[in-house]
Amino acid sequence: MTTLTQEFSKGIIKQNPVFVQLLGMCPILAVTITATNGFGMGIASMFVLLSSNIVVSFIRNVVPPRVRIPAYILVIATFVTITDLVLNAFLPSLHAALGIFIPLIVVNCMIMGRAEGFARKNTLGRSVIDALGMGIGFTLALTILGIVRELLGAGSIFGANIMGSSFEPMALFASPPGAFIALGILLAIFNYFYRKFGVQ
Amino acid sequence: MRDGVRMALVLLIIGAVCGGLLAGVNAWTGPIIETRAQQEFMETLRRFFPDVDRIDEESVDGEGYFVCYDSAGNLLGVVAQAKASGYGDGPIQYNLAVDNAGNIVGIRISSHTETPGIGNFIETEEWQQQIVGLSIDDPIAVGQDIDTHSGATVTLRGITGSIRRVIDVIGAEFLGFEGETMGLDIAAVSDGTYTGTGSDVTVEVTVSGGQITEIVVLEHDYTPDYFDKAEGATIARIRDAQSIEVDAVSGATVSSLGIIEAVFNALK
Amino acid sequence: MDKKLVVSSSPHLKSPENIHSIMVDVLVALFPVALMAVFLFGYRALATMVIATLVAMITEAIILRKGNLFGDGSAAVTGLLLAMVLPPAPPWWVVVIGSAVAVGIGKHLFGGIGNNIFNPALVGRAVLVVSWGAHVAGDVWMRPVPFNFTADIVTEATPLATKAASLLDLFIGTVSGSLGETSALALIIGGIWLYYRGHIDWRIPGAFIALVFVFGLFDGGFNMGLYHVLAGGVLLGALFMATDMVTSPVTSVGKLIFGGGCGLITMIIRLFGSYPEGVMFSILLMNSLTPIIDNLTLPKRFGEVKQKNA
Repeated sequence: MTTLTQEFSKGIIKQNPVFVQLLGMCPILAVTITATNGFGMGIASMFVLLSSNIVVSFIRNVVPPRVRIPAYILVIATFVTITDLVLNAFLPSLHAALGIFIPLIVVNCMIMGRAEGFARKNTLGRSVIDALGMGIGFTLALTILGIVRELLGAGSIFGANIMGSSFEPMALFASPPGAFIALGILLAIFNYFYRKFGVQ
Repeated sequence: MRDGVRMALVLLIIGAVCGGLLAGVNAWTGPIIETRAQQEFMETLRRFFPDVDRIDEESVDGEGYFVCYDSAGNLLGVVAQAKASGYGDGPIQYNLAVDNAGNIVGIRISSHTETPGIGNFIETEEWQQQIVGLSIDDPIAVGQDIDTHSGATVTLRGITGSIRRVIDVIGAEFLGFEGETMGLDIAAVSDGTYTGTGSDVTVEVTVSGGQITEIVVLEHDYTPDYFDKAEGATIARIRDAQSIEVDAVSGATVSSLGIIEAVFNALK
Repeated sequence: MDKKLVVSSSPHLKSPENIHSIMVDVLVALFPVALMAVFLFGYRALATMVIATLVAMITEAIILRKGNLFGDGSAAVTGLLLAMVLPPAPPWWVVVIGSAVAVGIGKHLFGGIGNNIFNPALVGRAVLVVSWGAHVAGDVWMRPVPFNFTADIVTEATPLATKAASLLDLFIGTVSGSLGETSALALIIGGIWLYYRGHIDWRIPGAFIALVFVFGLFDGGFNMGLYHVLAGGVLLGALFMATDMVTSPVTSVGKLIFGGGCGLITMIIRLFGSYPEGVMFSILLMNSLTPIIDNLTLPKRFGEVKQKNA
């Protein structure tokens, strides 16, 4: 039986949803044009993950196995819509920046993956910790990628111009091909360090 | 309990609870979003016309036009809440501000579904600066005073065409512009039947004895509701006045102007 | 023991050809083109070519951790080819980054020589076009100034944009364009050398040029047919880029399909797309189809009899 700390940390390092499990690629590549957007998307996804994990774990003994997928989707979609409405009301600029990718959190494989793969087989407490770990790992990955892409593609970090006015940003990184290349290189770096320190 | 019934029941309950939760959140956030949109809108108007004191809201062809007056009652300009169809699934909703001399003083995109990275150049300051300053007398056409934008042709054409149309409507409806002075001496036209095309409408005009005796619309591409409203009245006005310098039908300006243009093109 | 039996493992028949010798031949083939480039565009062309080639070699030496800068010559060829598809005078850092990307990403990230899917020089150019389009594809086309090594830059529209250059100018190369694409004469000389040395097969360039010509006929008769072949990057692409043995099909029929496809896509982009030139994209697109083409055009095995369903 893994300890609670291991349950938590696995989401960040050993089973990082982005760098190890390669889940949720679509929003990752599309949204990380700036670090702020990446971070915002990460937090929004974490909220959805946390809520859905809680509910799924809570009702895990009541839902007949054959209808569990529709049931989970109902739950996840509800929380995504709540997130969308709340963001629109209270953080309109982030809402506008993330745009259509907020509703797309529903199909983020990470959410359904944790619901199906963990929350329905584990206690409420563990599910919460799992969600927190995965969510933080996800947010971390998105933010790092966002920083890289924003720095190279626009010369700034979190909106603050770092590179000065004579820096001509490499527009490649502000667009999808650059996202793939940046993510690929980050994956290579992380896997190199994983192997070096004997992780997993 | 039979399996099927239990499954259906569980889903039903989950659905009901989720629905209720959503309704609650929506009721809570809805007014906030609404108020904020309103405030943003007033902000926008003020950005175009800082002295705006009073607004008249009009509706032309289904779109909203806000005629802005200052505290002394002078007409400052008109802000249109218009829709353009671009490449995305939904319309590009934008505001266009035109001052009382027919010059574009501002444009703001409120929402769109254009492809991020390709069609959303319309949100950039750079592109919008190209629009500001153009006037009703300028062509406002892609390739002429509007630069092409490779990879986003549909988006660009959609919004440019819409701006052209909106500024014409503003000019005709609120600022008293008559469009191109279309000089036409009907009495000098020889008898016969002529066909002419305006924007999206083709008409057939019969002239006899120096008078227009009949105008028939052959085909058009306008929204039926508005066009039907315009067709009868405009044709009647032209025939009664024996001139194309007639007023457009209010509420269906674009269709009316189209018919007038078509008649002009037929007889010129 | 008698030494009448030689026992060793295969191969017993060896050709003098290896990667190194092939690459040297390609560099020799590019020499007339490079010469013309310097002749037409002056010292800047020389600088661009030198920087691109050097950076390419250095990048490969770093990645492969080799001390020998020239190595097997493939990096040098990539660097020089990249320079050939660039305008005469992009900023030096653009050339450096483009060259590093071409060798680093276009070639080694995909697995090194023999394993890359896309033509590395074109990958470099594609990245540059997306990242700093204004510097490599905007208003940068220098009017050629023959015999003037240190002339100032005066930009003009390229032949594909104006459709008004004379066929003679296009043939000799006294038109604006990227370093390697202007002089049809130099390119043809290089192509003949490569063919003589047996490194290119007539099928790819043949199909490529044929399709470009045919479509050009539709754009304005025989003259336009020739115009489209001589203007822009068709000859450079057909002779030096599409024929890259790593990224093009192996089978004979496959080669014809590949070349034809390149020509077709090039002309579609030229005639119906919003870019004036389509060679780069067409070659990259066809590169991605090469494995499929190879699979579909497998030759019949000797003695193969198709199984009949019982």
